[in-house]
Amino acid sequence: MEKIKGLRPGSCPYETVYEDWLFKLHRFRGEVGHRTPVLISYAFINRPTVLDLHEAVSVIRLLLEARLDVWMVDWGYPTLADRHLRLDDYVDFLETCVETVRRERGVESLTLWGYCLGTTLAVVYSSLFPEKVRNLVIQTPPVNFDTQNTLALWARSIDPAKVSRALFNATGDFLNLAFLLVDPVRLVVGKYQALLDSLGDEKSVKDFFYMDHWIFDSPAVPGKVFEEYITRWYHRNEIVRGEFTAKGRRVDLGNIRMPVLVLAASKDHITPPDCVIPFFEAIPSRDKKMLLSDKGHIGLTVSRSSHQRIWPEAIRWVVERSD
Amino acid sequence: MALSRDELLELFREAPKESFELLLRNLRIRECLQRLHAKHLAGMKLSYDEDFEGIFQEFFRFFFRPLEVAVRGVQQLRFLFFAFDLELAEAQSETLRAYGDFLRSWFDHLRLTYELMLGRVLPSSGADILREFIRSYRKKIEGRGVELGYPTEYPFLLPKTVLVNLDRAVEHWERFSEAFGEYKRLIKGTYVEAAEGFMAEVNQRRVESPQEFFSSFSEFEARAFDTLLKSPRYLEVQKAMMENMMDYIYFYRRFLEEMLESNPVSPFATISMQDEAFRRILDLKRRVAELERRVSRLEAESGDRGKD
Repeated sequence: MEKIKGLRPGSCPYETVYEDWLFKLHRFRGEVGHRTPVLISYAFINRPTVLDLHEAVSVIRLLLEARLDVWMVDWGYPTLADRHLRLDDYVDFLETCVETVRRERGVESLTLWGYCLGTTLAVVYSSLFPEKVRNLVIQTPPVNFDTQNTLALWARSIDPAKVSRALFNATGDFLNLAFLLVDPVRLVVGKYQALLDSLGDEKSVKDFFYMDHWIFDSPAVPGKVFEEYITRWYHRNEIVRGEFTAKGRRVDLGNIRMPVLVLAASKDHITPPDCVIPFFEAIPSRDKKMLLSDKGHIGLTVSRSSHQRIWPEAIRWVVERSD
Repeated sequence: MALSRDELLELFREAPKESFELLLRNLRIRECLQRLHAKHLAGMKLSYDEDFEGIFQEFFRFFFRPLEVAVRGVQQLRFLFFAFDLELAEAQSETLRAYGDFLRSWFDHLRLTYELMLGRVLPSSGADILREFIRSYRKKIEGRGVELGYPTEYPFLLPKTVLVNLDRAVEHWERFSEAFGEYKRLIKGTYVEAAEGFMAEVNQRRVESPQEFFSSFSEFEARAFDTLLKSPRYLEVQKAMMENMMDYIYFYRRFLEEMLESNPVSPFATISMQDEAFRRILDLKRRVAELERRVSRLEAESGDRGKD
């Protein structure tokens, strides 16, 4: 018990620069040595602490150690009061964050870094405002939703309006259940049996609980956003088909001409590489690169092997395009 | 492996509730697996027994529980309609009795405090007056049941939509229960089939290592569920179960809400009323934000003209 006492994800200090009811913009504290700030648009379905799980596997720490100026959008914990938010409101807040960073730092453009569903928002934003995005980094990115993984099959087979009508928001418990049920034997039995086998290993036990704290710290998704993202992205795959509109404008992937770095994982059962390959092939950017990890959706971010192999290269890519 | 009472409490405090539950369930799963492995090492042929069943129960309780709660939700309907006279009256009389006891104790407390502080004695009639009030109030309430009769005329007091919603709630609950039954059969069938595959394998060769024994069992199950969860039949059943559960929740809530909304003495705003208020507030917020943007643009333009 002593091993896990008080253990919670998140090791890098930050301050909140801007707040708008539910949404917040944070700035991480650190010495800045490059001109172009990095704005992370995290997935609105989880908490961003997976990028800063603990010191040994913190992507945020790596960015700060590279003397990058790191900002983070926090989509908060939606309640009943937020049920009628729409994807447009998320794009709007992303725009507010970009404007705030540009104004504070006196720059024309920044590096926009999307994580999972935050990637989809980042791609939408970059298409609408390419002049404000100097580099686009997308991590475990769902852009093409026409894939055959279990989660995508399930998402395409449900009517999200019924969920939103009954529960108001897609609650954290509801989403957790779905994410565990996608691979029940490995996630509900295999993982915990492995923990029981390694109770004597302090590092493993700590890693396990850091991860579980993050996994089960699940915000709800506002009901109307849930309806939109399941219907427009999973059912109709609007972005890749060039049919998605945001802020009254059509999202055109032809506008993605800035340098693009894709970070994908070959064993990702939530957003497999197929979720990004059609996008990667379609965009006209001449400076684009894909780094493929042999891990899963979360392993790409937190595994020690990714921190040895993938992350140094990813950070170098960003640094080289930040002055 | 046993955890002490203090360790369990500490784990509950420190771990997420889901981790806590899954860890306890996995401790029991491990006991079942250890017993199965011991039987295997003793040379017994494994067959589907209480240990395999124990693993299944621990494994899927986490997923079945919220669905079973929804299935049982219909108990509230029974309480409201079929057992109204008995259970509700009993519950009310209990509450009244408790309230009366509370008032009596409170009065005694005040009387004794008054006596102690001021050295005065409160007239004993005070207690009698209170008792008389409780007695007369109780008599009044008890009489009403007879005067108003059985609540058979309730349906005519309520707007029709209340009963339509109730009807639809029951209809979706029935469909949901049916789909849930089929869902459980699919899950159980897959689990048992995979367990049989595992038994067929380990009954033919000796597996010394408990880790290898456990992971072989997990792999058999995992592969079987990988196939099941993508199968058209599973998708169909899951869709029917989920959509009917959501509709049941919605119509049942609307039934309860509309009863409240149509009752002029109800002091409560329903959650749907609040939801509508939030929708309007958010619409207003968007309009204000748009106006702010226009004002900023106009200010910027007029600033530019000033420079010219």
